[in-house]
Amino acid sequence: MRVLNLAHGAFVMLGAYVTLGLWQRLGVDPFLSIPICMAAMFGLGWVVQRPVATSRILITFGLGLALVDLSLNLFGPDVRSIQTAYSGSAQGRAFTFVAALGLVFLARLLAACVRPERFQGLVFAVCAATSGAAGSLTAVDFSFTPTSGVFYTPLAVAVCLLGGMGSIPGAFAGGIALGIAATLTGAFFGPGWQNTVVFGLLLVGLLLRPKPAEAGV
Amino acid sequence: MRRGVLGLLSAIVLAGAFVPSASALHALTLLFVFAIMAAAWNLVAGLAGVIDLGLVGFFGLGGYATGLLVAKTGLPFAVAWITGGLLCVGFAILMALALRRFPAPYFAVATLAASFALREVASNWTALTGGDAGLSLPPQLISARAMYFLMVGLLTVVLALTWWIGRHRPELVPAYAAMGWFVGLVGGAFACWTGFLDPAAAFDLGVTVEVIAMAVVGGVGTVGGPLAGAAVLTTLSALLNGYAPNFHLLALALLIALFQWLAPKGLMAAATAASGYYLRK
Repeated sequence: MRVLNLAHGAFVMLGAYVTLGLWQRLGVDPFLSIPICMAAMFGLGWVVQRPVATSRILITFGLGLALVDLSLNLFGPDVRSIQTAYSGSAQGRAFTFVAALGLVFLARLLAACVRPERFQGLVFAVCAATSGAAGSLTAVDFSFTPTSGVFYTPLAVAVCLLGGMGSIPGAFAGGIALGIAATLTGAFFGPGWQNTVVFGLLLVGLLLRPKPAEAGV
Repeated sequence: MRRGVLGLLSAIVLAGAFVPSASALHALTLLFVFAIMAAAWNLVAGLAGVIDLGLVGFFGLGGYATGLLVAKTGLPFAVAWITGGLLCVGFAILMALALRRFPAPYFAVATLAASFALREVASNWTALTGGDAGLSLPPQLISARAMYFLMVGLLTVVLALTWWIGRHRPELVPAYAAMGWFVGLVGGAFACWTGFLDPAAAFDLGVTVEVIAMAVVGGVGTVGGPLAGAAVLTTLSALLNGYAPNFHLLALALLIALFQWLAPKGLMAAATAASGYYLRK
């Protein structure tokens, strides 16, 4: 769709909190809450599509920050995580991986069906819904705070750049590469350096792009 | 017009020389600190047409460079200050050269990520920076009144530069280098003025957001917009911090989004249109 959404990380973070709320209040399993998350984030994406369609990047930047700060007020700054019976187990991880793979194929299918230039609003809402689902999966394996929403955005852009913008399987490969790099850095230098790695890979991804002038956003 | 500007400037300088209360001088200084950064951001966003989201990186880098030079090597403030500014210029030129071939949104994300990365370096390089515990600088490096006049001087220069660049063809690399210079100098002077440095405050994303909100509300691409926006938002921020401190960042973020959506030219354009309308009548 060639619009860089700077509120992306905030949608992922909101998805994680919706999943947490459903788990704590109603006991809904995080994997079962994926469709609920997707529906909620699709709705939110649909509501804000008009200002987003102007494609001024400061709009999604402001929107994302507003969502992060609203979440800080609603949910507090504490680090949260979801402790299920399978959290941290090999089966749980494998299931997360399979679900993520399923999401990638779903995104690929949608990208094939929709002509993005004609349905910008719809594409944006679908993108928000996918971010929400990613939030559910994030919540199973990682701890999160409202401010995580700010950090997920450069992470997502680095992933896409490493895999090649506009290519969904490429994004998947980029995600795996970045995950490995971040884990290795964490193991060798300590977890405090992970944003520096993301920035480094973002730069590498930008500089490795073959024809930057043609691939407009 | 020109006489009005000169009159305003001399009024500001005189106000600084004769303001009796320390708190009023402090408030005015803080207003100019943000106005300089908003004007510097406007050089890149308004004139070169590229959005930067990592402004606070230069604020923190200038602060740490100046503060560390003064505290660890005992250099006089003026030398450390200029060196810190030049370091920021070098970093800005490297960033702009590496990123200028790419579409604007990538520039925005990369600069945001760079400011996060710089904060991590300040947090983790404990031997040099003291880490998250922070670093106390020698007291009284710069007096309140000297800080005020430094900021008045920088503001005058950055506004004059905006006016001058606006009449020529703006280029990204020099504009970004100029932004690094002004924001780095503000960061260095600010650190020595407050006498303390820590990564959370020196690289606070909230500074970037406040500065962008000022430029956007005042009017991106105009000479006086960032100053007008700084005056409006400093007042609003003082009110918010008094009555609803938790909603400060939320209000700024919403203002950025709403102004960019509904009034992308900001208050200056509205004021110009209104004055034109009434003068014609």
